[in-house]
Parts: sequence; structure tokens; C-alpha cells
Amino acid sequence: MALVFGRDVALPDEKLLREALGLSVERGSIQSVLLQGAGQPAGSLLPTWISGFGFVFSSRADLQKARQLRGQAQTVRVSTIGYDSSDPLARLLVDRIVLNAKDAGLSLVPTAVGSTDLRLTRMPLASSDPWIALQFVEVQTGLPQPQRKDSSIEELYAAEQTALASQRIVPLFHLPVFYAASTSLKNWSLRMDGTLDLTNAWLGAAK
Amino acid sequence: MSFRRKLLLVFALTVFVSVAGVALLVQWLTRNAFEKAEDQRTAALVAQFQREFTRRGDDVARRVEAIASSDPITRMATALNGTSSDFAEYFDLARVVAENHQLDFLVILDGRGTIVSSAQWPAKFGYPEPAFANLSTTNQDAFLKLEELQDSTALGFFAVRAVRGAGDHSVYLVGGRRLDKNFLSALDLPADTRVLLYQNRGDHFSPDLLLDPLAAGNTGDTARPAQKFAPLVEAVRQYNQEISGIVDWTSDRGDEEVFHAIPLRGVGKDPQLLGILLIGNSRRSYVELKRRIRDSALLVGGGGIVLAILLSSWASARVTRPVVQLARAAQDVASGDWNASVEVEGHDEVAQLAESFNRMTTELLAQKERLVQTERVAAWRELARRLAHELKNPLFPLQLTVENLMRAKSQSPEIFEEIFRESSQTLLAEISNLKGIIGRFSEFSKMPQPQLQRVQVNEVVEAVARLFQAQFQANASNAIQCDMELDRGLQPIAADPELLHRVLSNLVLNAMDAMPNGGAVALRTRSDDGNVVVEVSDTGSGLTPEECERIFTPYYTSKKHGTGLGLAIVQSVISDHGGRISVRSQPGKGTKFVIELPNNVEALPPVAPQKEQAAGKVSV
Repeated sequence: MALVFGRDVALPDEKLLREALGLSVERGSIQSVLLQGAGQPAGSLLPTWISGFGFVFSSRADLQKARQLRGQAQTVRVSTIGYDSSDPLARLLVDRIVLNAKDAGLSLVPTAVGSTDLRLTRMPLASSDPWIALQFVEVQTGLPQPQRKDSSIEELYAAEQTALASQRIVPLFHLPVFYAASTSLKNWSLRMDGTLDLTNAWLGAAK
Repeated sequence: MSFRRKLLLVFALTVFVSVAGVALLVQWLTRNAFEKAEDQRTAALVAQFQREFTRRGDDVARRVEAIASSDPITRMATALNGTSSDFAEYFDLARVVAENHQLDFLVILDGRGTIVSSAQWPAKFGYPEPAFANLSTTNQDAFLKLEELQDSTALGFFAVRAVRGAGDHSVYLVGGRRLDKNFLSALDLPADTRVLLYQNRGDHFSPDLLLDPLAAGNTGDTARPAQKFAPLVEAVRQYNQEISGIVDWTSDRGDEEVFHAIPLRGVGKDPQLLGILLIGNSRRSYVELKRRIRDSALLVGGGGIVLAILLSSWASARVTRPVVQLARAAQDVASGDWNASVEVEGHDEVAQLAESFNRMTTELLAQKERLVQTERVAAWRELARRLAHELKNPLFPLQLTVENLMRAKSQSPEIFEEIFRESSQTLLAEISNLKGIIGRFSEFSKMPQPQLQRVQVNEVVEAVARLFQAQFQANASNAIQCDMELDRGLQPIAADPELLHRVLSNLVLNAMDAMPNGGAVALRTRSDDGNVVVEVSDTGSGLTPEECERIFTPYYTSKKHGTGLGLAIVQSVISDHGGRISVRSQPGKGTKFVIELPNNVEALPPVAPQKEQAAGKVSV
């Protein structure tokens, strides 16, 4: 789950304000209360279990720095934030993000209809392969795709860092995929990428 | 302005001022009564508002109390024992409980005032409650609070209850219900009264913050725009006290409303101004009553003034009649009718004045009689003195002549004849002189009454001038120039032409006597306010002021050989014509006689045109 901006940064102030917004969101509180502990707060596009370096990108809120960045911006305008009106959780999340942004001195107006400046977006991982997953995110957010040379971990890190530095996307959470299964389905599990592992599953008698 | 009109004016003004005063007094009393009733209605409404507030507050307090004692809350308080800050489990609890207990607002706070769960703003968990420091958990009463919402604020009744958890740590519930149009609609308002509520937010008045239960939707009442309340609201915000003001919706004063703006404050040490209760009373009934009073006052006042004019006209006529009679009598006395008297009626001051007037005229008449008697005696004395003086002069030569004759008869008979002839001539001359003197006295005593007819004064003046023309030029070295300035527009007057001719001749003769060395005589006529003025002036030796005063006195003369009767006759003739004569002179600067004759033509009997024409001519 991430905040995706509708266009690239055009002015220096926009870059400061987007960075301030990313620093103002209390991902921990949201994950604990609104998501009821599900998922992980995220500062990276790819989860650590895929890239191995996701923890390097901090997901902790820094309100003081956010306010400092907002103070550096010469012009601050009210932005609209969109969400999926069919998702009851999305409205709550947006409300909380708006509240956090307000603490940093940023004004966001939530709206469920029309085009918006940024949008709370659920973005499924396309693959457990980091490059494919990153490429999918870049395509979804409209970021340019970098030329891959040797597919090393350094190159992947640099690619993700470039994508984040564009301030086109603010990662919020890495959420698991939930499946509901009948109680008669026994011994099934989920793989790390969220797909079902039915290798050792069996059907028992229903009670 | 006559006395009667003054009285009339005073009466009318008195009535007008009285009616105006009564009308103003009634208006003042009416306004006071309405203001008192208005204050009572406002006080009743405020009391009702407070009762309703208390009732709803109690209802909120009961509901919060019920929530505080409910199982989920008790369990939560036990779980949040002061060490745990995991609010995840209770995130939605406030919303659910508030819905179950029909509360608009419910916030669950931990012991530090941090929001555990919020029904009205779920996303605000973990944030501190700004009003926590001002909330008294010991006070069981409800209070007014401005609740901040996600995109607005709302005014509501709130109650706080503490839920004892594990140990000494408590959880607080802040629950409330919205103070909205429904609350205002629930108030039982008297006729012509309405209640509005302004939610005090922001730095300036905003029409959107005004709750008007009668306004349809959010568009408000276009006929009564909310912006009209801005001055009243701003005044309350500035002075933070109850203020009243009149709001005029249209040019019709009947549409005005008196609004009492009552500040509604929150709780705490420095209670914030949260809202302004606006209680409005229509002034239509007052304005209509005021109009009726004014119309009635105008009607009664107008009728009263007419009646007062009629009554005062009658009364003033009654009061002023004796005064008018007195004034007429005084005028009669002034014009010479000393027998004038007024009728005495009653015993009031005017009657006393009339009595005094009558006494005064009687006294004046008596004094006049005494004066006439005195003057008559003085005149006889003067006549005797003059007669003695005039007769003594010729008698002495007569005596000498007779004694001379007697002496000649006895002592010189030879020349007696010659002396007798001379003495006879002397005696005849002196006797003739005596006859002349007696004739002039006789003439003065036989002054005839004027025979009035229509006379053109200019013609008489011209005739006199022609008469004396030869004498003016008789002595070439001492010639007298005669100048005439006659007003050709003079109207004929009623006069005796013979007597008038005699008067002017006398004056011209006097003028010639005053100029032995020649000079100029001027004859002028002019019209003055209906009268005819004739002036005869000379450039002679003039008169002293003393001579001017006495010149018309009979037998007074400034000439060596005058009888002193000429100007007395002149004055007598002019007086008999109803006119007057005056003299203006200074020694060495000539003398001017001015005769003023009244027109009096209306007093003449109508005559045939031919006869009138003939009468207008003067033969000299």
C-alpha cells in the first residue's frame, strides 16, 4: 500500500512537501490500530524478504523533520488525496494520513471521486523476483525503467533508491494476502509471495 | 396681532402641546411596557433554554453513565491498566457504543488524556484530547463544548465520566449530543419569537455558522439574510457579554426584530465563548400599536385643535369684548370724544379696569371743564388787557384834543375856530381808529363755520398767487419772487374755498411783512397719505423758538402794528377743516408754514355734477 502521486515533481517545493508527507505518516500506529497488526510498515518499494535490503529505507515518522521541510517550502497549497470508496478501510487510512499531514502543516482534502493530486493505492506484487516486482511498480506508478546491466543487488538497490528519490510514490505498508478456506482443508500454507502452498494439503471430514 | 388672536393662538397651542404631550407619554409608557414584556419573554426563553439544556445535559450524562458502567468499557478500563498503550483492540469501540446509546459524540481517553477511541473522528486515536485539562471529572453536570471534527466543528452538550480500571488508573468517557436545529426546534416559543444559535468559530462572522431552525436547508432565509446578525455577533464577541440590538429586515419597521444575544461559554478556568444564543422578538405588534397611537393622537389632536379653536374663539371673544370696548373708548378719547365710556360687567379685573377707565374719563372731562373755565377767564383777561391797551392809545389824543379845545375856548377865543377845525379832524381820525379796532375784534368774534365743498387746492393757491402778483413786484428794488411747486395729481378735498383763500392770503401777507427788503415766497402743494399738504415759506427774518410756540396764540404778535389775530384766525380755520398747521423757522433763515388738510370728500353730500364743477371754482 502506497501513496502515488499523479505526476512527477515539477517544482522544488513539491519535492520538499512530498518528502515531508512521507515523514509525517505514523505507519506504526496505523499498522497497529487500523490494520489491527496486519502487514509491515514500509519505507521501501520491495519488502525485505524479496530485496533483502528493505529495512535500509526507514518507515518511522519524523514529524520534526517533516515540519522543517514544510517550512523550507515557499508555497504550500491544498492537495487532494483520493481513495477507493468501496474499501471501508481506505477512508480510515486516508483520514489518519490527513491528520498526520496536518500535524506537519500540510493540507490534504480526501475525496473518493475525480482526479486527485495523490491517491492511496493497493499495489500487488507481480512476482517474488525483485526485478520483476520493481519493474511492475515502476510501470504502475509511471516511473521510467532503468537499464539493467548485471542484475546485481547493488544495481537493484540503486534502482529502488532512484524510484523513491523521484518522490512519485511514498510506500506505506507491505500487506499480506489473505485467503479464506473451509475448515475441511487441512495442512495448507502460504508462500512468501502470498501464493497458496497446497503441496501437503489434504481434505478432512467436515465437522 | 390682536389680543383676541393671541388668546386664540395660546389656547390652540395649549391644546396642541397637551395632546402631543399625552401622545408622547402614552408612547413612552407603551414602549416601556413592550420592553418589559420583551425582557420577560426573553428571560422566560433563556430559562426555557437552560431547562432544556439541563434536561438534555442530564440525558447525556445518564447515557455516558450507562456507557461507563457497561461491560465492554469496564473490560477495556481493566485492560488499559496504565502500562498498555495498545489501543488497537478498542479502535472501533467508541463508535459502536455511541451508536448503541444514541450519542453523537463519544471519546474514550486514557489516564493521560490520550484518545483511545473516538466515535466522531475514528482516525484521531493516539492523539491528545485538547480539552482534557479543562474537563472536570468530578462535576456530574453536563456542559457546553465545541467539538472539533475532521472537517468542521460542532457545538454539543457533553458529560464526562471516569471508569476505574486496574490500580489507580482511570479511563475517561467524554460523551455528548449535538446542539443543532432540532434542539432549537424543540423549544416552546411564544408567538412572534424565534431562537437562533451562532456557533462561535473563526475570527469573523460567518453566515454558515448560524443555526436557524426556520431556515430551509443550507441556503438560509433569503428574505432575512444571516449577514444582518454580523454586527450583533461581533459586538458579543468583542465585549463577551449579553447585548441587545434591533435587526431591520426591510424598510418596513414592522419587520424589525429585537434580538438579545446571550453568550454561551464553555468550562474551565477561562471559559471560551462557544456560541451565541440569539433570541428575537418581532416588533410588529409594537410598531403597529405605536402607529395606532400616533394616528389616534393625530386624529384626537386635530379634532382637539379644531374644537379648541372654536371654543377658544368663543372664549376669547367673551374675554376680549370688554377689552375691545376699552380700546375703542380709549381711541374715542384720543380723538377728542371725552364723553366716551364703557359698559361695566361683572367684578373681575377687566370690569375694574373699565370702571377705572370710566372714572378717568369723567375726571378728565371735569378737568377739561375746569381748564376751559380757566382758559376762558384767562382769555377774558387777555381780551380786557388788549382792549384796554388798544383803546387807551386813541383815547389819550382824544382827551388831549378835548382839553385843548376847552382851553382854547376859555383862554384864546380868537383862535378857537382854527383850533376847533384842527381838533375836529383829530377827533374824527381817532374815533375812526377806535371803530377800526372794534371792527377787527368784531370780525374775530364772528368767525363763520366753513361751508365745505369739493375744492382743488391748487386752484386756490394759484388764485392767491395771482392776487398778490402786483404787490410782489410793486417795489422794483425790494421785489419778491414767487415760486410755485404744485402737485398736479392732487385729489379734490372738502373745504371752504373762501376761508382757505383767506388763510393762504394771511400767510402770504405775513411772509411779505417778514421780507421788507425783498426775497422769495414759495407756495407748494403735495399729497401725503391721503392728506393734502400746503406749504408757504419765505426767506425773511425768521422766528425764534419762543415765537414759534406762541405765534398762534390770539393777540400775540411779533410785528409792531399787528393785532395778533391773523394767525389765530388761520389756525381756527384750519382746525375747523379738521386739519392742522405747524411752523418751522430759524432766525435769519426764513419761515415755513405747513398746512395739512384731510380729504374728507366722502363726508360731502352727493351733488349734481354741474353744481360740483361750479363749486370747485374759486373766485378771488
